[in-house]
Amino acid sequence: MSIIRSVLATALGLLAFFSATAVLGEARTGGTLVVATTNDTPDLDIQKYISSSQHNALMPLYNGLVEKDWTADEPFHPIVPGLATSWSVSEDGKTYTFNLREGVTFHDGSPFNAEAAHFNFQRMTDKDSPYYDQQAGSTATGVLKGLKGSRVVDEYTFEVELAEANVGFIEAIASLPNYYMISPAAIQKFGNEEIGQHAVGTGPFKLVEWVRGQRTVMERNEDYWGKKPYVDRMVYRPIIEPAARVAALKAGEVHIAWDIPVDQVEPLQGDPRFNIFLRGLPATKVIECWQASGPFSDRRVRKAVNMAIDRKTLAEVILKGTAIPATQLYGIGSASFDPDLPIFEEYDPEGAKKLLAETAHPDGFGFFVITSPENEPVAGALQAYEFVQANLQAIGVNMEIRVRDNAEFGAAYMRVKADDECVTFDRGYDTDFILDMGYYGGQCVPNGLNNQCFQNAEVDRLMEQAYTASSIDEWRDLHRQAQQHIIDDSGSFPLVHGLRPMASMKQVQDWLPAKAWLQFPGYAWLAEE
Amino acid sequence: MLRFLAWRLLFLIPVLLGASAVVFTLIQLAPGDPIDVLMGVFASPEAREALRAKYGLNDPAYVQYFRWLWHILQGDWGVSIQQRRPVLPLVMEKFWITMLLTGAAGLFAIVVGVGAGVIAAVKQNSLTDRLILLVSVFSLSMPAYWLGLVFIFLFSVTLGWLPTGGMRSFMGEKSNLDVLEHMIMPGVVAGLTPAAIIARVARAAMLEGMRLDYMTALRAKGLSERAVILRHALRNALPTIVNMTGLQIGYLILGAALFVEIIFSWPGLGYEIYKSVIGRDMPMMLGLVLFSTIVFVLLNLLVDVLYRVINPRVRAD
Repeated sequence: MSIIRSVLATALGLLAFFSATAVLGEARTGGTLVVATTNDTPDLDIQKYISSSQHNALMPLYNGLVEKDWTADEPFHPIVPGLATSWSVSEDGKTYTFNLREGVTFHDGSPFNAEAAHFNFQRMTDKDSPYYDQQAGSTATGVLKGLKGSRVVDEYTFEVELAEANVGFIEAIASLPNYYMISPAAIQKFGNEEIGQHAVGTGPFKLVEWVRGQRTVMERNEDYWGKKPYVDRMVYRPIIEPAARVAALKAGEVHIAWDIPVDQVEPLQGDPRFNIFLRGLPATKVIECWQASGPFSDRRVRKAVNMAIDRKTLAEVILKGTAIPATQLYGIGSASFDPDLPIFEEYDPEGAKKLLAETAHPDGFGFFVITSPENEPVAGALQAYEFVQANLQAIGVNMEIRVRDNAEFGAAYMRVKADDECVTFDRGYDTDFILDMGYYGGQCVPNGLNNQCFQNAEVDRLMEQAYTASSIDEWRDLHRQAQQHIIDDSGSFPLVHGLRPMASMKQVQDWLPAKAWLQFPGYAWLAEE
Repeated sequence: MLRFLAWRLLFLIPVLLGASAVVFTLIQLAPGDPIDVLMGVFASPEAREALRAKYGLNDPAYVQYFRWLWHILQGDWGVSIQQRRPVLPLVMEKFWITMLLTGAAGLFAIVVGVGAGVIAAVKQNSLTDRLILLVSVFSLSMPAYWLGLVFIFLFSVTLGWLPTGGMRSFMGEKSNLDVLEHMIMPGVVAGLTPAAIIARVARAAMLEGMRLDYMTALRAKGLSERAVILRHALRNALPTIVNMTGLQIGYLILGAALFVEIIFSWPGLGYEIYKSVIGRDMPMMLGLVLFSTIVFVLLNLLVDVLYRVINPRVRAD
């Protein structure tokens, strides 16, 4: 019996292997790839925004000087050359020199060269330039505070100047498509406002048609300088409602659906028509509370709350394995994510009660969290918070959940909060800049992004040291040390690292979702049905 | 009739003023502001202030409102903060898409609603009447977004008859009836509630008419039952039905469309309203509400005119 079984298993294995290699053998060109995305962009100007829905919608149409390979199957997405083939940094770390790719043209036929790159950076940094755009400028310099200006050296050499050295510069412009290049000729032709209705980049796809909220139709750029897409066309169909997104996939109307809701993951896994991916997201679902005053200013209270949260059950049962228990602040796919760290805090409700008894709140206390579901594509956010609510109830702490829209959430994030006020969201970006933004003492809201007003002298010292680091690796190392201090200080309440479920029809080949907010499915191809 | 029209059009002014003031106040009361939504958390406070100044968002609320009103009076609907395009063409473009859906839903509501109402009245207290009552109560109580999802699951995912949403398909062979196919489900879902209301009203109006003595006289005259019901009873119930239908179609444009359009990804006014509320895009929001209110009021006016045409008793005074 067992022999028959093993022979059968081997035969099946071989069959699977050969059919897999047969499929992978040669990519088929042609067809239209239809993708159900979660949201659309308000316009087509890639430099004006810094949100993943805008960047996702526009990334196939544009290129940056440097980029990240969003299709790589590695622990984190590596930096790769884009419109610049190589780059170097001056000794003082303030000047970056880019050697630009020759022979690249924008979709309108105008050439890409140092003048074009300079024009784009002027649009973001030079207030005297006639094409300076306030919104693009504030977006660009909001992330890279030291971005000063740029200079043409020769036709294919271009320099960017920073006010202070920043080893994260390349990392930032590679991760954030608001630094991508738009055709200067098109901006001159249409003007800063009207360019939002025209997408003229150098990307692997050209825009055919955009109907806001309905569809973005793109076709392969036959003159593309890099790897050309296999499909003739790619259509993005934004479907806001998660259940409708899954329905479109099941009805065979789209090839790929992003952000599958938690309760749909298992049924799709059991369906032979689909592939479902649980890859990760460089963000951590977290509750962040005001710490400058009130109950959470006491480290013991924070520690007790952290001990009361059952992260394992939350990830495995409530979120049905679409997330793993939080171990740290960085998320999966972030270059700084350390897979060897233990769980953020072991579940110990009895210990939590004892610890709380030592504080000024022996019988517990109440607080509220503001959450915005549209802000958290990672499925099952509300169920997660309700579970945490029950966890905290067990140690006498009452957590009230206030569901609000994104605008109200944004206002809550940026304000000096009440003693009992918290926000929840997925903290983390495709670049690992999260720590100094959220935890540096000098960055308290409303003047910075430290929305809890977390204060820790050692953390501040390490982050200041990181500003003058000589390499990105040293920078990351210092930040990891800072993170350990934040963990020891119970600096916030990280819950889980989401795995971001994504699904595709079996017909879709060579597609692996990025472990990132940004997704580029444009190199997938369609097998014969 | 002319005096009536002029009077009604004059009445439009306070209605529009009231509606725009309410919307303006509600958005002002909601926390969050359009510039924060637009620029995200990274923008510097100075950049935010500059953009706020550009859109005049730093002025007191009443100044903003009256400035908007002053511009509207001159025909300037303003510029959408999110999309940076003039509001009026954007609204018009979406309006026609919504009208397409409203037309389908309205047609469904009228045909099914009046039909069901007449049948229920004729077969009063029969099993058919009870069944129609059951279905209409069900349609009235089920929220459109829930019903939409059930329909999608049933007719698209399970049976594969109809597309799940959007206005066009991108895969496989496209039939000439592509848009029509996409219209059926949202049209029916949006039209169910008005159909149910029309059916209830039609049944009541028919029953009232059928109780009158002249019905017996008509039958005694030898008229067929069909002629009695359709030509006389229904004819006399029409004013009531038309009145209710007008209100329901107006409700469709603003009410049902919002949920149905989001569930079915129908790119009309509902989707724009959703987006502009989320983005706190005041000029767009005001434009959408003002425009929809105008349509709603004009539609009611049309109904009232129709009412006078088909009801001689009102025509007299």
